[in-house]
Amino acid sequence: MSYQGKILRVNLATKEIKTEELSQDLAKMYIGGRGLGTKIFSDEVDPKVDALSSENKLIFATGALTSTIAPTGGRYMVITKSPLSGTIASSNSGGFFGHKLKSTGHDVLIFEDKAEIACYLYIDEEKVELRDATHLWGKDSHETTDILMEEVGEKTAKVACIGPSGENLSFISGIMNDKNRAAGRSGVGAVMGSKMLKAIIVSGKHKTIIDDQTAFRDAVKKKVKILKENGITGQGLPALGTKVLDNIINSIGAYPTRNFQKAQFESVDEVSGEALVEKGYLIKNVACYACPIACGRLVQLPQGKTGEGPEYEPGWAFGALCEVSDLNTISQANFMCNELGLDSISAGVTIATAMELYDKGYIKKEELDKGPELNFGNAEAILYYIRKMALKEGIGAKLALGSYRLAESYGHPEVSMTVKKMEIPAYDPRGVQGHGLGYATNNRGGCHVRCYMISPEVLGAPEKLDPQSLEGKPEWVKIFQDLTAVIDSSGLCLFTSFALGAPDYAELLNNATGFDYTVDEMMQAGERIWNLERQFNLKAGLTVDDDTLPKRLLEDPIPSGPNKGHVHRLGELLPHYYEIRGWSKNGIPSDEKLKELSL
Amino acid sequence: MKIQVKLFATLRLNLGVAGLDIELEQPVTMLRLLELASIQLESDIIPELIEDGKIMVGTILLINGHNVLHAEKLETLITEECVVSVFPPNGGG
Ligand code: SF4
Repeated sequence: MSYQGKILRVNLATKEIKTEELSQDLAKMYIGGRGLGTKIFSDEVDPKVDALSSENKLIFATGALTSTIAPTGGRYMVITKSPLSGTIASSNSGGFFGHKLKSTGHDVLIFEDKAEIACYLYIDEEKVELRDATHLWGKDSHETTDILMEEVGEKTAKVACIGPSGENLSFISGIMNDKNRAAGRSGVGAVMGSKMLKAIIVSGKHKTIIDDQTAFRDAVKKKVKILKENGITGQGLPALGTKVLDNIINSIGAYPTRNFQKAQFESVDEVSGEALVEKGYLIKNVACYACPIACGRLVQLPQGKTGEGPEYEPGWAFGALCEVSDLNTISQANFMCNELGLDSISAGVTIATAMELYDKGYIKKEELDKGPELNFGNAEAILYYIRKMALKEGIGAKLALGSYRLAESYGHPEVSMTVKKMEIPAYDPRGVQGHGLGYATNNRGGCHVRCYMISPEVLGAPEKLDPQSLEGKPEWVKIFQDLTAVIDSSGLCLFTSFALGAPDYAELLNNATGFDYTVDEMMQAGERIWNLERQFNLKAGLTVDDDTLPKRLLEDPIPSGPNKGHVHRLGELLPHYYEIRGWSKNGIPSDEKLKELSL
Repeated sequence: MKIQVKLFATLRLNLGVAGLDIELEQPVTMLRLLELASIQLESDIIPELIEDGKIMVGTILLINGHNVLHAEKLETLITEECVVSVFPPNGGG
């Protein structure tokens, strides 16, 4: 049984700490991580709750395979209600924190209510303590981690914390762990900040018990071999990381540029993954716990600063989307987001929104308070306004609420490239139709990692689909959404899915948990999780009208390049998607579907 | 006619070349173009892209941004001046 069997419940107001048993039935139905966390959360929290109120809860959940030797088995999930989108938020992160959290002997951590003064939680296998964190408040994520590591004095301990942006309740703040890894999206950092919880430090040596060690080890060996032999996970990702995508997505004409006004960036060669190597910035690739892929980048900039990243998404957001072609600035922007605890995708998209608002004369120069002009291409502005955003100074107070609320405050929400108020990542849906359907129907808004249709539509894995064709796309999107829910709940990294398929995950899960999922039952667990999230969102007040894309992407054709003339054809895809999901025309799961999924 | 061939990712980093121009007198297939590129580069790039006569999973071959997998694959004819982009198996996001 690869679960620790324990849930830790911490009330931040009363300081009461309780340990509860994990129900095996729930574990089997929801696997762990995202699924189990969402089940516990939606059973306990009213979907209409204000995300930053004391009634919201914050859950950290490890997966069924977290802290095992399964490849990439080090991940955890943060589940809460998002202040940004008003939807269920579940934000995933790698590094070593998830492994260490489970090694304390707990699968899930639940935080309730709010502390009166800043605090942090210390957990090892013997004790759990809420401690004063007033000395850490105001510190960035790196300083916080260093101070806590020194205070605790245990070399193998791991820290997850918020930076100043989370403390300042920025709707686009994340939770940082291992300094540079982020549960970045959905504004989960603001929820932690609202609870005055600065950090969690975990230190434990509880092994995850596997019933049949030999069978599990054999299964793991086979999967590692598949990952090593696959061109994407065995060569491409280790060599160039995610930034290999800059040139791919730009070449096919789906690389959002100038706040989605164009789909190709002239200066891509200056900012691509290849450039990161050619300019000598890349020192080496780095891996999360138990990962044979090692897609992370350790980078040193010309002025001597070292850090991790930028990954494809933030590199694009601060680069092409803002038309900035200085890789040094882009890398610094990424470092700053990690330190300040900002979601680097949302931060970049929000600055690009501000640049378009400025370009169109909606933001006036006087408002910038002598700061750099918000012109597209102005590298200096990026670094300046990231800080303002995290500290909520001047116009930074508006930026901190994300792209949608920024654009809306000027009366021009159409300038915001968001779904359900969350910023859309680095693929123009007009050039990848299935991926666009994935954005529109995503349970947490503009997000690429709940349904990475780029894999079949662009990269050709597991098979190549024509990105402009609509045929079969709703079916593919459903499978990808359900399978991703399984992977997120297992505690594995989504990148394994370039090489592994559903039967591989079922084999790993069965050998580790002792359950006997058929592939269909496992996929049904994924579907159950997807529908549970959907139910939460509907009860929170979201409707069919929220399953959409910005007007620009539905109505304005891409002006040039390989996808010239294309818009996203959501209207032709959505009804069939609802139908195969067993949902009504209004996107509401039918009673039969809910019964079939035991919801 | 001039064909601009752009090399990316590990191909580009390992060869230390970002691309090359190939002069053609008559249309050729994508496969032939890759052979011509290999000759000009003095390095056989085909094993990095093609296995058992088929485009490897993850390999991306584009003509003006359009993937040849949705045309005639390795038999796709290159008939006019264009940009050919060549990616060995890659990925991520
Ligand atoms: S593939 Fe990358 S992000 Fe995923 S676990 Fe490995 S190093 Fe971490």
